[in-house]
Amino acid sequence: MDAPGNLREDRLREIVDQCLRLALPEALPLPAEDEDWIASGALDSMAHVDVLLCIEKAAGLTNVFNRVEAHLPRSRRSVFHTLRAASSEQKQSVESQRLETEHRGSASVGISGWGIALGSVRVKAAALEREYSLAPGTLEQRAGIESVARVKVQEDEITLAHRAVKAALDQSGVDAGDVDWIVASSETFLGYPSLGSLLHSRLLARDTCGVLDIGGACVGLLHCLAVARSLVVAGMASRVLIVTGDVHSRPLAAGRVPGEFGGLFGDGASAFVLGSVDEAERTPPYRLGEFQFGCAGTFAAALAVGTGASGEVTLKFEGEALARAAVGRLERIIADLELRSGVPRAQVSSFATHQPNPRLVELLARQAEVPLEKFPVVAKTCGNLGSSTCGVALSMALAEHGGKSADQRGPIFLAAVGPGMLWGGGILY
Amino acid sequence: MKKLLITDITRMVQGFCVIGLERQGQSFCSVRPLPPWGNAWTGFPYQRGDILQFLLSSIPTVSPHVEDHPSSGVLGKAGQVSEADLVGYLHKAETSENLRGLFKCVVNENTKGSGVYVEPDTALRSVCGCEVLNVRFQLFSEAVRVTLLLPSGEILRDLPVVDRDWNEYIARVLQKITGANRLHRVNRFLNLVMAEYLLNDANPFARIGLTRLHNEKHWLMLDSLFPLPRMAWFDQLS
Repeated sequence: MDAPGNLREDRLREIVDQCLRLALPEALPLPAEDEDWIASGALDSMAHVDVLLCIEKAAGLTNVFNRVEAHLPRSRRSVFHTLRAASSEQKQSVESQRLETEHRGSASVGISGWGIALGSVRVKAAALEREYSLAPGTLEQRAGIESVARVKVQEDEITLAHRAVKAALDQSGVDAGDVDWIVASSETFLGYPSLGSLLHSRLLARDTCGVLDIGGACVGLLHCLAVARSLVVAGMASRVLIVTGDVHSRPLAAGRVPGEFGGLFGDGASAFVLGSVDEAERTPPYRLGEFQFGCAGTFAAALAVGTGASGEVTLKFEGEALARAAVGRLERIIADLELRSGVPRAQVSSFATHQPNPRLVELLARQAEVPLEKFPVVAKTCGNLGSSTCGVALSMALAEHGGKSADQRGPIFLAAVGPGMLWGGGILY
Repeated sequence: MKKLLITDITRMVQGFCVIGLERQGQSFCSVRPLPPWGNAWTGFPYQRGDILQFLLSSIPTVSPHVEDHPSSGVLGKAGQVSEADLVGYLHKAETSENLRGLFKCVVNENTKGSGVYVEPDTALRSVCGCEVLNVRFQLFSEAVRVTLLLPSGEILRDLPVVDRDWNEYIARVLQKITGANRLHRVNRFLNLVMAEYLLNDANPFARIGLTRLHNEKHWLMLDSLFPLPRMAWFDQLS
C-alpha cells in the first residue's frame, strides 16, 4: 500500500471515481469530468460531504476538504485537483521531514506537552501498614514510603489517563483530532477494549488515528517513547500521543497479596505529546535521543505476578534479590547511556528512572554517585506507579527544566527495569 | 389546542423542522408540529424554550416519525422557560445512554462513506436525547459535522449538524475569523474553545433525530446541542 503523499495521479483519479461510485445510485453512470454533482442532481449536499470524507480516508490524507475556502469542489476534475494538491503538499512535507531526520539523526522528535494524574486519595504509610497487617515501620522505615496515591471509587486507569492526556494536549496546544497515533501502556489494565482504544473513544480522536497498546510493565513508557519516535521518523505520524495508566490498589489490595509487596504501589498516569521539533525555537522542547533495551533473564524468577485457576493473584516476590538486581541494572543503564552519548552523568539535569521504592532510589543515587535531588520524588509520596513511575518522573523533570534555554539545561536520562528482567534506557537532549 | 415547549429547531432544505415537548403526567413526549402544508416551516420566528400553542390533528403517522402531527400553524406564544429548565424537561422525555436505545433499533455505520443510519421500518421513534461526554466538530465550507461520545462509550461519528442556532453561530464565527488557513483555524476554535465551554457545562445534552427516508435509509443527525452557543464565547476569538 502506498504511503499518503506517494499516490500516483491515476490512483488518485481512481479513488475519486470509486468513492463517488459508492454514493451514486447503481443505475446512474459516473458524471462527466466537469459535471457539478449537486446541480445535476447526482448527489445532495449531505452525500457530497460523505463522498469527500470517503475520498480523504481512501487517500490516507487528513484535513483536505475542510481547508477549502469558498465552495467545496463538486466535480470529478475539481475534486481530483484538490486531492492532487493536498497529496503533493503531504509528499513535500514527508520528504522534508525525512531529509531533516537524515540530517539530524533521530534527534528531531521532541516532547511538546506532558501531563500527569495521580489517584486523588493519599494514604499515609502508617495506615497502609495497618491495612496490610504489617509491623509498624515496615513501609515507612524500611522502604522509605511516606504515602501512596490511590484512586477514589469513581476513578480508574481511563479517568486518570484521560486527565493526564488533557493536560498534555493543553500544554502542547495540540487538538486531539490532530493526533496520528495513540501509544499506550499499563501494567494493571487487562480488559478489552484496551486502554488505548478506550482513550481513543474518550478523546474522539480521528477514526484514522491508530492505537497501539504496548507491554513491558515498568519499562512500558520507554517502549512507548521508542515506538513513537520511530513512527514520527518513518513519516508515519506527525503527532503521537503517549499515555500510561496504572491502578494497583485494586488488584494488589490487602488480602490478595502480602503487604510487603502490595503496600509499595500507588495509582497514577502520565501522558506526552511527541512530534517533529523546530530547532530554530529559542527554547526547543526536549528531543528524544538514543534508546537501548534488553532482557536479563537471569533474574526472571525474582518477581512473577499472575492469576491462579480460581482468579486469585499469584505472586512470587524475592524482595532482596530483586532489589539488588534492579539497582545494579539501573546503574549499568546509566553508565551505558553515558558511554553512548558522551554526556558525563554530572552534566545530566535529571534522572527520570523507575523507582521500585524510595530506599532503592537512594541506593542508586549513592552507587551511581549522583545527587539524590536529581531524581524527581515519585515513589516516596505516591508509591511505585508501575509503567507510570517513569512517566511521572519524566513529567516532573520536564516541568523543572523544559522551560530553560538549551544552554542552561542538561540532558535527561531515562532508565527502567521491569519483571523479566526487562530493562531500557534513553536520553532526552 | 395544545401547548408545546419548543426544544428543537432544525434546518431542512426547504425551511425548518420544529419539535416540542408535550407534558404527559410526570414525563414528557416529543411532538413534531407540521405546518399546514408540507413537512417544513418556511419561517419560524421563535426560539427554543418558547411555549407555543398549536391546534394539532391526529392523522396517523408513518413510522419512525411517529411524533408528526399536522397543525394549523402557531396560534400564539404562551410563555417561555430558561435553557436550564428546558434541558431538565428533555431529560424527562425520550432519552438513551447507548446507541441501541436511541431509536430502539440497531444503528449502523455507513460502510460506503461517513455517517450513521437505521434501516427503514426498524426505528420506533425519530428523535431521542442523550448526555454527551465529548464532542468534536468538523467544519466544511458549507456543512458542519459533529462526532459525539455517549455515556455508554459508543461514538456517533460524522453526524450532520442541522441545529439552527449552532449553524447560525458557526456562520458568525466564519465571518469573524479572516486571513490565511481560515477554515483550519475555525475548526481549531470549535474544538479547542467551544467544545471546552460545552463540556464544562453542568449538563451537555444532545438531541439526535432521524431524517426522512433518504437513499433508502434514515440517517442520524444532530437536532440540538445544549448548551446553546453563547455570544460571550466570541471573546476567545481575539
